[in-house]
Amino acid sequence: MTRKRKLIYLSALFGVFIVFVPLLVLFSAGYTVDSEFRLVKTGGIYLVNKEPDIAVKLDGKSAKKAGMLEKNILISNLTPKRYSVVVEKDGYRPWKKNITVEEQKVEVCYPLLVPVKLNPQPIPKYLIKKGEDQRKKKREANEEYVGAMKLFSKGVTPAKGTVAVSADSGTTKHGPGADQKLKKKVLLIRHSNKIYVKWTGADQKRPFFIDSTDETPAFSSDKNILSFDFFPGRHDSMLVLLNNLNLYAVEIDTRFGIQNSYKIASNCKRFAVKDEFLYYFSVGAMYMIDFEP
Amino acid sequence: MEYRYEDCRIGKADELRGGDYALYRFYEILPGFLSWLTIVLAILCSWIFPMQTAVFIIAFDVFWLLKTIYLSLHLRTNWKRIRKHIDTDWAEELKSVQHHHIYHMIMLPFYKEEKALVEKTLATLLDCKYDTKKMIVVLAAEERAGVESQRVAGSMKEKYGEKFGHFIVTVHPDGIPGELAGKGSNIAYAAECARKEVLDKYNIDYGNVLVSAFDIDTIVYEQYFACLTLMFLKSERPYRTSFQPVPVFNNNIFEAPAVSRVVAYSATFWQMVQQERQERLATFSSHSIPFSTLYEVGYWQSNMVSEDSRIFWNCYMKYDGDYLVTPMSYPVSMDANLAPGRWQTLKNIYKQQRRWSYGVENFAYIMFNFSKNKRIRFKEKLRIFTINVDGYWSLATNPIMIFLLGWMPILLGGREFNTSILSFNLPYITRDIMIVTMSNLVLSYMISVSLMPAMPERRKHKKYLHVLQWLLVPLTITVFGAIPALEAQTRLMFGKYMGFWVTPKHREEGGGHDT
Repeated sequence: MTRKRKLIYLSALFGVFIVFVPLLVLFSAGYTVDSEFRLVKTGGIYLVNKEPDIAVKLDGKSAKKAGMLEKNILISNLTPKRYSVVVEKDGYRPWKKNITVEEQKVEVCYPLLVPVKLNPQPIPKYLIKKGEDQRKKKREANEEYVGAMKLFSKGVTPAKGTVAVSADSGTTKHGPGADQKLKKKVLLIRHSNKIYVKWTGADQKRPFFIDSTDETPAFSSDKNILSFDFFPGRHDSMLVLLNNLNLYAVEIDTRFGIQNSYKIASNCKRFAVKDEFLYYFSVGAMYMIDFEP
Repeated sequence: MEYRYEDCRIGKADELRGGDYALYRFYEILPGFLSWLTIVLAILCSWIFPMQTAVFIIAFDVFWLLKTIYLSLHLRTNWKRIRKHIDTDWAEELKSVQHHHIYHMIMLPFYKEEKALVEKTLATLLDCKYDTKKMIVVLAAEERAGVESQRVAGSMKEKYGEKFGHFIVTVHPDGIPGELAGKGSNIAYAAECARKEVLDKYNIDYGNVLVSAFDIDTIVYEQYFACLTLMFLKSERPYRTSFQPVPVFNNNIFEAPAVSRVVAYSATFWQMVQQERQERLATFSSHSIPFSTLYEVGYWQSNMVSEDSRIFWNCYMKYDGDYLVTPMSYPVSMDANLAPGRWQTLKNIYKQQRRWSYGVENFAYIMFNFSKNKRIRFKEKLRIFTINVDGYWSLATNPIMIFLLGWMPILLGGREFNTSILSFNLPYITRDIMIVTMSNLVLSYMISVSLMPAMPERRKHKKYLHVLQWLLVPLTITVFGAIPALEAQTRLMFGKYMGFWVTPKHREEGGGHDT
């Protein structure tokens, strides 16, 4: 390659570098050009999400959809103001938040999507099997039921990533300090009919749904809380069983004014969580719901 | 004190005393220090100044992309040049000039390689379109390799001795004081033997002999010596230049695993790029040099590892900077790394890359000689210093910075930075720039296919893997590029000098190809 040609290439590439880098840095830092060609600062919203096929609406207009591989969603270039954010998915209850976007900042949210039809599967105590003699039926203990029952008893093996700080995981003992739950360094503490959240790790790694380094109220009710635990497979939401025997899914995030909660089951006496599965008793029978995305 | 080149053929700092020792050690430490400083600073800055570091990373990513484009343009140009040179009938063109006085001394150092491999190399020399009676074959065995290798050498001489003008077997004695066991000391010894036993005995003018220092697996294309002779004869200053072919590691390319293929082609591509940048070109691996020049500089250095590139710097210092490398843009074939077993192959690739990267030992040699030699202009010294520092630093740090440290501000930047839009955009921007950069690999694939021998019928179903293999590049340039380079620099920095590691040659049954 001749010197002259090299010089031409170098000059051209240097020119691209000089022009392109400042533009890229400005864009990355949230600057954009408005309709009147003025340089304005913007912000963004980041949705931490595991669900495929979700769509996001901002102020009623479609904004973004989750990709096949990248399920987390970054919506950038947003003019600083308050947005009504709705996350939707077919067959799921919409998740709503009013989020205030600031200049060059990103607000991180953790949408909790709960199916409209939860499709609880009954877990019978016994399975009826046909014996060698086809006319006689044989009753056998259901291993799944036996396994699930262990979750309800004392000293259960906690769900993956969960440490049952108290001995009682799902029973109806209440009163100050009766229960604590710890998952991925997020500690839920019950005081009377209130649940508090506290981050037990290094402050640098504190997730955005916990707004303070101190113990912060995450849920309160005028009814007594019978039991609570983390929502299956998540550490940013919880399940709360009230003394009206309704079981609720509640997000821990109390920022932006709205705290989404959904009724999961009625007539629920007890519940237990293992990984992505919820087990509960209702009207004397055990049910299981799979919350795997 | 007047500079004498002969006093400064230093292998390592231990050979010096006093201030010279301190100066040489300083230059041995400098490349490793700069690389580690970069990595430590990248981590520290990610923690203390995450915002500024993120901006730097974006700028560096763009720089990397543009540098890749720039180098790809060189690669493409050289590819076209190689194709033109392969298509040229050099033997025919050679007829137009007086060339019958030119001899070729072919140095073939070997250690414990198999007889079949040695034989294949010798057989392809006979296939060359050049008078084999003008060839002086020097089969250079090692005493430390044992009697079996000497037996192989003896049988080769018996079989091929009469077919070449001269054929000598040398056995490099083991344990010569002050020598480092390796290729450099072996071929230096062999060249001196050849001088006495052939050149002096048959009264051959040193100036009419071109020495080609090959590896034992080097397979020459049939017009190599015709091409080399013509370039030598047409050179304006033939005794102030070495001749560098393009090493293509494709002898056993179909037997080698994907990682080995990618590393091998990457080395070839780098040499192709360098062929278009003569101002940065030093000799590497197989190369050729006039014997008279070689004799004047005292042959290859026998007290260090990277004799292939050092011989260029020896000449450069001997002639006060008045020396360069002529890019031949003509290939020679060599073996890609292959061992029995995949894990052993990976280990061998790493060790070979570490040895190549240990070429960083030349930096101290160059700078030490610069400090003594006042006849080389400061501007030239500064140019060489910049090229070398950039080369060693880029090799050891850039892939680590691009593929690993790019995420550091997000991990270490703290809560304030992690809520900024810059923090969220950084991974997306980096990813997108890297995807654009990787698109250059399409060119790599096309060139690799053109350099590949015809694919054996039994392996044709695997041809798609030769496309996909290029996705391994981020891994190979980090694990088999930056990390061995960093290790080599660190060893030199701490004075843990490396010895010469002989890359084991292995070909599967029926492996190899015809050029």
